[in-house]
Amino acid sequence: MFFYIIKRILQVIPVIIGVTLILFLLMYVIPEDPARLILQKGATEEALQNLRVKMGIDKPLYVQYWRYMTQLAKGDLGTSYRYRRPVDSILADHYPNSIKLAIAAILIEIIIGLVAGIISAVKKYSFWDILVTVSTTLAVCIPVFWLGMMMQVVFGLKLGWLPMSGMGDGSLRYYILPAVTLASVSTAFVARMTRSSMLEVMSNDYITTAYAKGLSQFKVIGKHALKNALIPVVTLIGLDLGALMGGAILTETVFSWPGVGRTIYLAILQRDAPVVIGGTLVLVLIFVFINLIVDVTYAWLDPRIRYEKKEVNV
Amino acid sequence: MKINRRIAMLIVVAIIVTLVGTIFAGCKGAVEKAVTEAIEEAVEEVEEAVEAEEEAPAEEVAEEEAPAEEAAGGVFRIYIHEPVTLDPANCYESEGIQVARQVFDVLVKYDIETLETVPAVAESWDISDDGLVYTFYLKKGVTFHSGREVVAGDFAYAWTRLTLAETASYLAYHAAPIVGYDECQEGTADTLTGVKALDDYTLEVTLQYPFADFIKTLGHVCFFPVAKEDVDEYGDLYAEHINGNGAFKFVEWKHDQYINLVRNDDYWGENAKLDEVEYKIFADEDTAFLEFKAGNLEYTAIPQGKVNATVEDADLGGLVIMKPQLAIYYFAMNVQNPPFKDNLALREAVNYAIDRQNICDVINEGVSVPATGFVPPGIPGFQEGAMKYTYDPEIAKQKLEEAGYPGGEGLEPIKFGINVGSGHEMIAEAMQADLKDIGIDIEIIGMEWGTALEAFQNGEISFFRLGWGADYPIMDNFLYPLFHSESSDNYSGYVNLEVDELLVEARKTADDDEREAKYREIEKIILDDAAFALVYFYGIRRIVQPYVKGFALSNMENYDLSKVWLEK
Repeated sequence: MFFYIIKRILQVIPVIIGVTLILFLLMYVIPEDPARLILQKGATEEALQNLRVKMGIDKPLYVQYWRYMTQLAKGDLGTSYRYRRPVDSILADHYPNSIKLAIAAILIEIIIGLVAGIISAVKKYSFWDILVTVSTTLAVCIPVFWLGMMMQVVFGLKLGWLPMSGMGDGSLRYYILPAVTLASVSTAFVARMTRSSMLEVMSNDYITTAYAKGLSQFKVIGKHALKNALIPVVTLIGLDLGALMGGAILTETVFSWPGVGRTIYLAILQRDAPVVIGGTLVLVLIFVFINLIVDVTYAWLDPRIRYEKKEVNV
Repeated sequence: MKINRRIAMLIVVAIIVTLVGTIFAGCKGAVEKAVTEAIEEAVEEVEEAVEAEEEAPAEEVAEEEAPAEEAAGGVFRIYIHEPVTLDPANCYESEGIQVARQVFDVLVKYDIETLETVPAVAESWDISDDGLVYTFYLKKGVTFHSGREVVAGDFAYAWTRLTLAETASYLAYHAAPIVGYDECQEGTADTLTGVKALDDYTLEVTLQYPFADFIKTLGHVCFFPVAKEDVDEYGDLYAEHINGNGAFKFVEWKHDQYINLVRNDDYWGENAKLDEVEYKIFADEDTAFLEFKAGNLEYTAIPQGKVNATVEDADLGGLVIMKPQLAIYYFAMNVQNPPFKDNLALREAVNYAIDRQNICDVINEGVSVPATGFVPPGIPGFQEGAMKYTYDPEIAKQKLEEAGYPGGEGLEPIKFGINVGSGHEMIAEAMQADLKDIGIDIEIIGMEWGTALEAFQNGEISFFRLGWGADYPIMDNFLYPLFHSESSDNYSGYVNLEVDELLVEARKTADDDEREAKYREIEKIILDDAAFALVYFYGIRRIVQPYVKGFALSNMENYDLSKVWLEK
């Protein structure tokens, strides 16, 4: 397992090269002059040219790329064209907020999604099953921004129970509305996935055997069925966690959450290449890391999954 | 079990009906209406409740202590977007400017009501006979928030920093009239030679050419004094540690969350009454508006599309601030290429065909006002009805005939470039319909600003959207940058040598009235060339809580929070 993890970490290097190369090409192919973005109004041609030289964007693309990569190796993500601040400081301001919100949303997803899915599988075709089926359909259908706005009006403005926007002092109450909004669609998916996966597992012979042995329903479901049914669910949650950590533009906009999604989105609109590339790069690293955790979790959930050659050969 | 099933079925049916209803309603745009209604209803209820709650304790307070006139204290909370920067050398958008104006004071400032230029850090000044040398005498005892006195050298440093190539300032061009500007921009000098601190309280500025309005440009944010030691200490992160000399001290900028200021008790002028100012950063105007309704903001913008409803609202209507802004929205016609080249009648036809009032009333909800010239009302020297073109489809049709295209016959569809977003599409479509009425077909092409500009300059498109906001409240600012053939802001490529000459002459004219008369003449000449289709002057749509007193907003959207107090 140790070597497997090391191998996976080393695989990040070609991923970084690939991602930066593609982003570099995309950001520089568009016909927008970064010097014009910075100077705009009233800029003389000499001033623009001076700036291009200073920024190194008068050089061929491969020179620019090499320069970026050597700086990256030193841990320097460059300076934002728009904000004139180091990109790492911009990302450090926003990534933690996105990660915190993503974790809150994932917790809701796991707790509500899993419980609803299990109940609905175990009590197949009961009232609870139908309730879960219908409410998950609803959760998938309702647009996120609409749900967010309605919750703001009801729980913030009308009832005054919860803050409507921002992070405030960072206390838990500020997380509730955005996290529920953010988790709504995924919670529904997790519930549905858990249900179908559980139903499939529960039709297996070993479950019948477990019941025949006289085990309690709690034990059969908790120990034998759930653990096997969780593999696809873990994959889903893992992917979702990665996606949520990249920020959620709609939720962040509606709730004015200072996350990274909107920051990168605005940077794309404003052609702020260093922020786009730096932000995406960090996101890719997070994704790779979460995938690694998911793969390791597989091995724990299903002992038949082994990653090291030696064990596979046995 | 059976009962359970039935209940379940009933619930399911109810949910499905709601869901289907929502989907269908959504198709007709009724969801938005429903949401708006729900929001309004909720707001009304909450406001009623809040009022009911507040009325009782207010009386109790009144009994305990009489409300003091201009009571001190309190926190003023304002909605803004995340500013790009707070560094005066680069503060080019309204968000950063409104914060910086509370933190810094410059040599002169603009009176909020009249927009007249009044002394601030400069006590007085002399101007040499040739109009080239300005000597400013600074007030003594004005200090930075760090405690150090503001001296003439701080201005010399800030202005040099503004113009140096390495600063890459978006605002450097404001210092263009000063001697040494070109060398600093080209990177061949490291000092702005035209600005000298003769001693701690005397600043001498030498211009490259006489510019009678120069003093009036100095209220701009980019001329704020900057302490060199702060820039040396914080470098790239200076914007997060600004140290000004204004009525409020900068405390903290938590990105995308808030910017906090506190009262400067050592202010050189009259101390502010508010204890703190909190700029709350929102990603979305609508969310900020909800917070305003919940009483969590003192001042905010009215979201686009909600202006009429707010104005008509019994409670909110009286709190609305709507006034014209010193900014113009217009379209440039490409006079270097057909069909507009050498065809004045065609350009005039376009001008007569546009129903500006309709665009202002319907699309902009009455916030903007139809343009009557390039220079907006509020700028000293503004001339009423400078532009002769009003909405008159009949004259437009005659002009089109004169242009050689009776009823539009023989005229190819004209390519019309707009930069996508910010509602330009709706205005372009309204114009498309107006022009269609007289027989002119236009093809709207959405493109990026830079691409559109290039396409216009290459002649690929014949029509192009532009906008301009005042940097300072002078006529020159709407004419020289936009129409002098050598100005880098003359995006439309308009060239009229007579206009060039007159613009330079006007800048040299020392007498205010005489100068303004010259600018009025220039404005008329440009309008007569009909190379532009002016649409409207932008408007301000803001709202402020009833307990906020002493708050005034200028046409440049400036306000002075040192004069504000809260009566609650």
